[in-house]
Amino acid sequence: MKIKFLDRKSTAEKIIYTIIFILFTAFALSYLYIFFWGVVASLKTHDENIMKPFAFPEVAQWKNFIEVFTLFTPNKTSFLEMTFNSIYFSVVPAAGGILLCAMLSYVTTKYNFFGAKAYYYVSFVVMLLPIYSSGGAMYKLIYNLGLINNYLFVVTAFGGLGAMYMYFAAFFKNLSWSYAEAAYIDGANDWQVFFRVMLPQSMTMLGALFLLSWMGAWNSYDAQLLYLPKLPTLSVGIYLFDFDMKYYVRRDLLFAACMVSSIPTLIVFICFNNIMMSNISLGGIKE
Amino acid sequence: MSASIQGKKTNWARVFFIISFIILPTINFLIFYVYVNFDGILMAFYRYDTQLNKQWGFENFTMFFDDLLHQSNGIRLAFINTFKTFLIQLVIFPWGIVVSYFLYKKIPLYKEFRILFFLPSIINGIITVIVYKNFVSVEGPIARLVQNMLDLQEVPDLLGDPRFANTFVWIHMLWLSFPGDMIIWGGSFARIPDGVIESARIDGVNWVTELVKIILPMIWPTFALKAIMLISAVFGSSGAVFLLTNGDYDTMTFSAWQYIQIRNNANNPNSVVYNYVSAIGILVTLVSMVLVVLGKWAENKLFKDVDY
Repeated sequence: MKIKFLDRKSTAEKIIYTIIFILFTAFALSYLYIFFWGVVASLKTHDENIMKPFAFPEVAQWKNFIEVFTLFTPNKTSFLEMTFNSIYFSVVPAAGGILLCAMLSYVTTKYNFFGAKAYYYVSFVVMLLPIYSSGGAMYKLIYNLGLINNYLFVVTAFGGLGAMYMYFAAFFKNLSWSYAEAAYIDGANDWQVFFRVMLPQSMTMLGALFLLSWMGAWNSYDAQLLYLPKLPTLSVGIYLFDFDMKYYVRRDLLFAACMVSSIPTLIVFICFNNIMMSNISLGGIKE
Repeated sequence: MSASIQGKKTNWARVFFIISFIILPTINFLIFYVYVNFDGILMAFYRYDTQLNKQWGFENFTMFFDDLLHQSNGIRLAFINTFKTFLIQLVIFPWGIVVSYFLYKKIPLYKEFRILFFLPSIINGIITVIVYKNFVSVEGPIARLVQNMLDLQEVPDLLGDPRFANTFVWIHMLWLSFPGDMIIWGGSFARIPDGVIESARIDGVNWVTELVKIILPMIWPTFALKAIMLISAVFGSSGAVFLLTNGDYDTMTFSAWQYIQIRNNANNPNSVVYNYVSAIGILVTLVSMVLVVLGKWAENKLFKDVDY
């Protein structure tokens, strides 16, 4: 079989490309295997998962996917409650955080006022310099504000400074102001210019950043485990189910829960991977 | 061009508009960044006595240096593991660019690879850890392979044995980090004009020259920024230690140690552990600040005109 791609390449390049292709295939298959193994494990009985972790099920246990909704209850939280928590603690911070970030970067890059430039420099420092001494102080503050196990915990995500700000600032800096001027001439006010003219132009990047941020929050477990242990998301529920009760846990239910919790992110990624992968950039291109 | 709030007279509607856009993020930043970090600095210099009175001083710092010098398995080991992990991340960093380069060059099945390489980011980290743990467990194929290779009497528990645990934490990290930061590099490559690459091809440059002498200089601002970010995050270097081993079996890293300390003392924010963690955090932040400044200086010294 002739591979068109290699036609115009030298022998050395053909060898390199072949090696890289084999390497890529091996890693891609190993990642696919995670998912495949998870699906197979979720269709086995508990005993099969313990005794033969790498074998196929003798009879596919589809009932695991039904039982997960009634029997998967870490911390006595139902699966539906965890699903609600997952949606709430991923969508609200991602949507709110990104919209606020877009608004902040827009006014600080497009309007001249005292301190506007400071946001850029502060974001730059925040992005570049992780401060390692804040962990204890942050927990103390969240505790004192009564945000532990509280749905209002999402306010911590309504920031806007840091790497995300830099993405939007780069975008709005390069966005021509003539669109806004045309809208002002037509009688639009500042709000209308932003929400009807400027923001819609950033929709693909905003969408990509929202999806990435949402996926990260959906799968996140560390902050939730620390600050929201009694309002577990699916990720935290899976952690609590597996890690805190490891010797008693029903493995079939655990894997079924893992697979169900992965479905939303998988569907979104399959539908929107092009948007996510080609609309985000950091830093410039040298001419 | 941009808009101003100053004309012949102040445009109050515009002032209100600007304030409404900056007020929430600014308050959030002042509370959850400025105040938290300021409090973190203060916390490092006191600890509570049994009567819950603050005792100011440098005890947290002296305790840290004492532990660093005399504890072989505590914080010292965490720092050693952190630096080893950082070295691995240094190796992964350029590899990520190579992966994105070949995807950019549309290697066969590049669209499928791009999707599959993103799977570890889509699937919950806990799930990948559970699968990996099963794979390297005593019943799994890898443990038997290690047993045969090293001629061991018993099948080793690869994540439960200090001889192997760190290596298998790193293998997990290498396995999942293979694609690198495809989104950032892919986004940068996509902005390179096609004409530049095509004319280089016509001139007969090979892929190494194309990547090193044409593409890398063009995406240099992104590269320099990512390199500095990598250096500044040196003390955050950690594999999935918390999920894989909980820091046991000599696998602790600094960031996992910090997280575990705070989690173990949750619901007791007056615990002296928080002050101790803050003190170490300050020292570590100072070191990473110096590294960032040195890194930036080196970039400017070696390569002129580095702007982000």
